[in-house]
Amino acid sequence: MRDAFVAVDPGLDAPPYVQIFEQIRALIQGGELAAGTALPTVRQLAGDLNVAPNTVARAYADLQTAGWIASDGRRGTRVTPRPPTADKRVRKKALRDAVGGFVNALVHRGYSEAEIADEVRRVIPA
Amino acid sequence: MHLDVWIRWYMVVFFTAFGVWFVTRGELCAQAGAWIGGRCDGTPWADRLAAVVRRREQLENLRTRTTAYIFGGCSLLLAVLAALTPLAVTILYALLCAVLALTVATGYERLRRVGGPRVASLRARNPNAVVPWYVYALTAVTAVSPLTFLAVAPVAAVLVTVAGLLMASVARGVAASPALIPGVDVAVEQYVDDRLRAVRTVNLLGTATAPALLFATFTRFTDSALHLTVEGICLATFLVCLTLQTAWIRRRPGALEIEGWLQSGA
Repeated sequence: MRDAFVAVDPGLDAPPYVQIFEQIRALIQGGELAAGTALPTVRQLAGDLNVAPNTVARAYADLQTAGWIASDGRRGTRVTPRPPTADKRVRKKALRDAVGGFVNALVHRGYSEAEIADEVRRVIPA
Repeated sequence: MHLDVWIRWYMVVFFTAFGVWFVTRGELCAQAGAWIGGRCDGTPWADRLAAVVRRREQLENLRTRTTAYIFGGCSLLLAVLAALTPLAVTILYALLCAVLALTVATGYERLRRVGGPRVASLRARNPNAVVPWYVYALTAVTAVSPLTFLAVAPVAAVLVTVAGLLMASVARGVAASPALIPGVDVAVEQYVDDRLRAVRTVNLLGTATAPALLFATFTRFTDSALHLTVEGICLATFLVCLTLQTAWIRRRPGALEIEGWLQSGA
């Protein structure tokens, strides 16, 4: 299997740890990171991405809380054997978090909640 | 002529040759292109590889030869001191080793701090996959071997040991250093990064063993059996590193090798 890659774009509104979180989650969900795959250490990934170790540590911690990865002491961090895609409760929370982050980012950019809701309704007609 | 006088002139020639080499053309940390040559010329990979190596050289910015000038200049100064002053050659040699270690460490520290946005592979890297752990152990044993000369040249023995250990630790640092993948041609960039990491690590390990080996050849010792053992260990380690170094440097990337690597996605 080809290597999977992640990147951090400083031009995006989403903070770097969220970008890392989302990319790794998408890679696991898309099957590019198989269950049991060993992930790089926090130090390695932070060095490779040229970001602070705390940024990667936070992304890993969030991925672990959401059930996508598991830390196994000396064996390092691995993709969990059963990623939380099938768990309705976790899926719903992940969706709520993602939408919340998206709306917050738009509010910070000066859009009102009504404007955002109108636009979402336009893009996704009921 | 007395043996001490021979040794002094031997070291004068050594310092001079070393100094001239580094001032004129030697490099302590060669550019990427020096290790990844043109064996792919005429193949579909040639342009991609050349472009990646060019970008890497721009990012690393190793074109300035300041460290080589500093090291070469120090070596020439030591040649003058060895020829004109009664300072012990072991001390002068130890000073050269210390300068070498410091310039090498400074050069590679600068490489570690190359900035800019990049992409990162999610493959866990193991520094021992570059060079097996026992080569580091052998290098460390060789680096501390000058301590057997503590009775005859205490200050020089300690300095040469510290210099060797510092260079061995820099080699380990290079093996574990962050990848430099700007994300323009990710597959080839990763290939170049892996190769550079390996070549630079084995080069540094070879350099780390050299000070102890040379120190053992010209420092006079009373216990000839121990002296021979130390020289044997130093020479064996140096040859191991030299073999690894030669194997990596000779293995320039052929088109088939790159193609295979890209297809396997290793």
